Amino acid sequence: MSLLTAQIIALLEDPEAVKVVATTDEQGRPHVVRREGFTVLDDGSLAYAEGLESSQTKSNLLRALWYDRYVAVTVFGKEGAAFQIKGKPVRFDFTSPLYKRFYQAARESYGKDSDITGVWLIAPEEVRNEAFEVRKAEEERTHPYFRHLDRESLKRPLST
Amino acid sequence: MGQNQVGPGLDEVAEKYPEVPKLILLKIDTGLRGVTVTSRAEALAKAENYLFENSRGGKTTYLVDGVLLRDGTSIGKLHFQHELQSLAADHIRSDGSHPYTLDTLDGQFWLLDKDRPVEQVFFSPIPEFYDKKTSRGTAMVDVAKSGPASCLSIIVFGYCHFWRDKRACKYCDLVGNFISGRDDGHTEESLQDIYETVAEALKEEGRWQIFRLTAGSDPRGNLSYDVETEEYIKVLGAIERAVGSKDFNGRLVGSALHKSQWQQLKDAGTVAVEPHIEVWDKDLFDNICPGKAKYGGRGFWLQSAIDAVEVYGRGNVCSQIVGGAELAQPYGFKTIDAALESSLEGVEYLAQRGVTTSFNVLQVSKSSVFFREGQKPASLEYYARLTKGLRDIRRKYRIPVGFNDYRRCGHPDTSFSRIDFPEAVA
Repeated sequence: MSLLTAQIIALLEDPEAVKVVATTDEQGRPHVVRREGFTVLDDGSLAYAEGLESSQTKSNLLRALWYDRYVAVTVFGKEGAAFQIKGKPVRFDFTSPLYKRFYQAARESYGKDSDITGVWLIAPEEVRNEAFEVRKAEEERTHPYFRHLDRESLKRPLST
Repeated sequence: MGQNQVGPGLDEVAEKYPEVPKLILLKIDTGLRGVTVTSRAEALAKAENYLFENSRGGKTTYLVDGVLLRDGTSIGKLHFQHELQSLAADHIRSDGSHPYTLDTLDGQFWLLDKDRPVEQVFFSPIPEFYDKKTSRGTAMVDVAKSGPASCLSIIVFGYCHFWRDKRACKYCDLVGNFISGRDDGHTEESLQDIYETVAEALKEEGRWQIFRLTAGSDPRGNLSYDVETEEYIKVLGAIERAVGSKDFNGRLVGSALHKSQWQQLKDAGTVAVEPHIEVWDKDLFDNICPGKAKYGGRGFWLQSAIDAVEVYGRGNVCSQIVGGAELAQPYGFKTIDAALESSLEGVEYLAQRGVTTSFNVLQVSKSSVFFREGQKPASLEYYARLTKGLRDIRRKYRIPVGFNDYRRCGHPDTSFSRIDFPEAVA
């Protein structure tokens, strides 16, 4: 069963939602970039087209595939919705009908000189709701002592 | 360890050399051991149009564009059921090794080691132009071929004077093609075939990124290799006409040429060249590549690659070694340590001069001199070390090899080097 709910899939496929891909290089240094054009396949994996063959993201995704490392995709919707998906790249595709679909979409969106190097498939392993209100509610439930106590909501009128 | 021992298998080598990706080791291992296709997989591949039937002289063979691993790396040549009988007799493989099997599991293609699933694999689609003909009826598939996925290959002429002179490179198994081919040059008609084929091929969206032109060696001419150069220029002209400009990423795998010839080819649209040294050690070069030794010699072959850097720039010139040829017995190195030390010395010498080097896995096929000599392929461990060595030297000298990598040619070491953008290469 896919880890991705209908809400997350809709966000990933919403062109107005911001999507970022986080990877690490050979030294473990983070590399975070904005990407677009995500789709979720029937098997639950994320697919998106990487534009450049020599990009740091491409190398880092390949490193993750070869050496079994994690990457993360975070999607930010309007009105504060945010989900982080951690997973592993499972395939780089530059020949299949899916690749051709992405290639043609790039051409339609950006003109006949646009290009992609291929399509990355990422298998989600963990999903985390990163909306601040959700994280805040969880922390206050599990770690109430992390709050400051001068909050308005905690104030009660002094009894006389 | 001598070259006659199989040595550790895939899992052991992967554990011993964790920096070399296991998928790259698997690619090498499929080249060493071969891949046989089950009837079930053949039927599914045929149903999904991944096999192009090529009939010639009453014999039907399959053309496959490529079979790719998850990372896009291609695996070794496939052998179908009807080829198996001749396969055993026509190839020398590592002692005791058995081929991988390509079968289907739940409707998908998988590579199996005996009965154990190893990796899912994916057929690359047959190019759309393969079943078309030129205006004079030439099958376009006879004019150009995919090799591999993003590279459109054209064999400029099908003969090699080294074979005719009985001085073929000892590992070369192309005798059938390279003796029967014509040596009277391209005609207007044959160039028109190339023009029409390239024009048709380019209609396929998102497919081609580079051209590869190759031929046998032809040392004839006022200046040696002038005839070979002129034929390349004719074909480059036909490609230019089809593309509509000289900006078509023409890559040439040819003989060692003079600097003036490299310049002529650059002016005609070539951007990257590969004069292959094949074997670094001088005595072994003379022994294993007697044609190259006679028609120019090792010094000329090396200087030609170095001269080419002046014309094409660093990262656009690649030599090649046939990995394992230097272990041929009784005249070659006795240990893989000595063999690797020699080869990597040569690779570093060239890298210091701006030339990068790739390697091919030695195949000992029936029509080669090596087959008659009873030579055997090197071990997987040798190739793991060679892959790492070549990649390390490229990183040390920051030389890119993008024109010759996993989807534009497919050598194990250059396929590994694709990870080094942009941190470790220019």
